[in-house]
Amino acid sequence: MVDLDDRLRALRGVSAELARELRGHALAVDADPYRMEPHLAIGAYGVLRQTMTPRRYTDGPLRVGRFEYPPGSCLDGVVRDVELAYGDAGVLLACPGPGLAGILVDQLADDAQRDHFYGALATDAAWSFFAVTEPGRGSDASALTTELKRETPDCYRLRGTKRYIGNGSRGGIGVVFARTGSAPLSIRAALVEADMPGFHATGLDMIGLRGACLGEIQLDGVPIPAGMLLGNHLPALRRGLWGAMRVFNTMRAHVAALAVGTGLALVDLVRAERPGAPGIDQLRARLLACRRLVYTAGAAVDRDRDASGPPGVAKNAANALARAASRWAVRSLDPAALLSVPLLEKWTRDVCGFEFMEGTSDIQRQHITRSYLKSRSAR
Amino acid sequence: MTPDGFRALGRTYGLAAGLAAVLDGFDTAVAAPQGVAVLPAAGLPHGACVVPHPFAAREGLAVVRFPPQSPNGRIGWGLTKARAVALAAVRLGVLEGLLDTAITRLAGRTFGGVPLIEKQLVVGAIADVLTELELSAAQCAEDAPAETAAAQHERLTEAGWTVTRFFGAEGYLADHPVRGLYLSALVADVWVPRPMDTYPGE
Ligand SMILES: Cc1cc2nc3c(=O)[nH]c(=O)nc-3n(C[C@H](O)[C@H](O)[C@H](O)COP(=O)(O)OP(=O)(O)OC[C@H]3O[C@@H](n4cnc5c(N)ncnc54)[C@H](O)[C@@H]3O)c2cc1C
Repeated sequence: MVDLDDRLRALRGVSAELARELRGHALAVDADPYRMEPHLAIGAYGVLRQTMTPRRYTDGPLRVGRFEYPPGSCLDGVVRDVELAYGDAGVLLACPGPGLAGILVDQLADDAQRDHFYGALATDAAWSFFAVTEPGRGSDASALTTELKRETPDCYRLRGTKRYIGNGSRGGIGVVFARTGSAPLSIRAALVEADMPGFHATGLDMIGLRGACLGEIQLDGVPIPAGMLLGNHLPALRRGLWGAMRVFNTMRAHVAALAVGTGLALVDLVRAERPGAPGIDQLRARLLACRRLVYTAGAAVDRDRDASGPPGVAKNAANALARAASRWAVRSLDPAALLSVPLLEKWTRDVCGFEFMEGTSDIQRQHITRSYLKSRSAR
Repeated sequence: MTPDGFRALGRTYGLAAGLAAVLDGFDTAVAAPQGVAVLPAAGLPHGACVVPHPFAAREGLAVVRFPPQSPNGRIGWGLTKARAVALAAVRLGVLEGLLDTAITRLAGRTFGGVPLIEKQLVVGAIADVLTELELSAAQCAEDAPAETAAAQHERLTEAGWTVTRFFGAEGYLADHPVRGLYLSALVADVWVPRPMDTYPGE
């Protein structure tokens, strides 16, 4: 179990302060998530970009007092994100910048690809996408059908449809997973730009977490220079979907952080309206315990990027708790609160989204047990 | 109309039509809890002020607020016992219709070559929903005390969430019929009187 040291407590403190400003934008982003101009100067967005972008593309790492926060640490990321999601997870997900794609680029890209990717994201209104899911293939990502076909030694063509992709219709650059053949190792990730011929994206109207701006991307013969395939310099096992599996562990810990932060926000929302609401102490204790699991998952991933057990446990616990918190919050307040405290109604929609991000709870349940059985037989 | 009639209405015509039948002849402006209501969007009563909601209108519903009538404000007790039962029956119908759609979807998708509908976790979850549907329908036929309505509706909300999850991310889109399940929960949250609850665990 992880206890936060002074350095991480300082990060938590500064993130909590930024979360207050971020929350002020929650309802407007929910109402019109594509109108981001009024929100781009949010302080948290600067910190998110600074802590998620490699040093060579920024003015240096985030500093709080005597401490530094270079990018790349999952634990730093989840400590930050629990607090920012306490502000509002929807606004957090609307943040321009490298996002999920950046985590993959950091692990699979060579220097030229990194320069290209981060160069395209240099302005404060540039989003990226990370496209695995397809209309017919979600949980079973390894069966994806989008095709990456070599046309000439230097060029591939991308054909297929991706759906439910965060920032899918507003991202200028991103990563798309596709297969070059039928074997499992033939799934590769390519850097793709939205202004390429054959790239068509449309936004999808979401129930909650509307800042995530899910979209559908149709790839109709998009030309992909061979140099844009990620992981060419890596062994085959580390290149494609299998390489990405390690990235999913990081992401899962982050989704868990978003869920815990939202759950804690719901508890404090009820406390403000009805101090001493029955069950509040129990629920808060469970959420704080879950926050500890999230930190533990972050630390486990930093030690070993292949660690899938702790992030899966943290994600499932946090997801279930956040939803339970939303139901409890609704039942604890009178019906008028759903209108007079609009964040209550919004967060009851938002908490449902965590279920689907980075693997549904039933998929996680299977990972958790498999990971446990593997470690048990290794003992 | 009998509970079975409300259930059929919800299943065939959806939540807004079912809610309209539940509220037929009811003075919603007086009964709306603290002046707040979810109503069929067609034919809103005089004085109802529509509050923005991202997708209620797509389902033919409106979230509304009535201006306070007296200086003391109003309580508004929500649905009476018979109407709370009728709403449960409508919600059952909506749920069962969407379960049917979900089952068709699950049968058409695979994981590792196996249809999702054959996965044990899915099989078990469908059985749980079917059981809850039967139990809830039986409860509609019982003369249960009014205070039990909130718990029954909460169970329906949970069963609705299980069905929503069968749709994967499609179940998180506002232009998909699954939005009816999110709104079904909202309608009950606003209309069904409830004891101020405790935390039962997740
Ligand atoms: C807010 C949000 C953001 C997202 N962002 C992105 C993104 O940026 N990029 C991206 O690529 N995708 C993204 N997604 C999509 C997400 O990754 C998928 O929704 C998820 O993988 C589930 O796939 P699916 O929706 O196709 O569900 P399905 O795979 O169709 O699952 C349907 C149901 O079947 C169950 N099921 C499936 N397989 C099994 C099994 N083997 N055993 C038991 N039960 C099973 C599931 O638990 C679920 O209940 C996002 C989704 C959301 C809601």
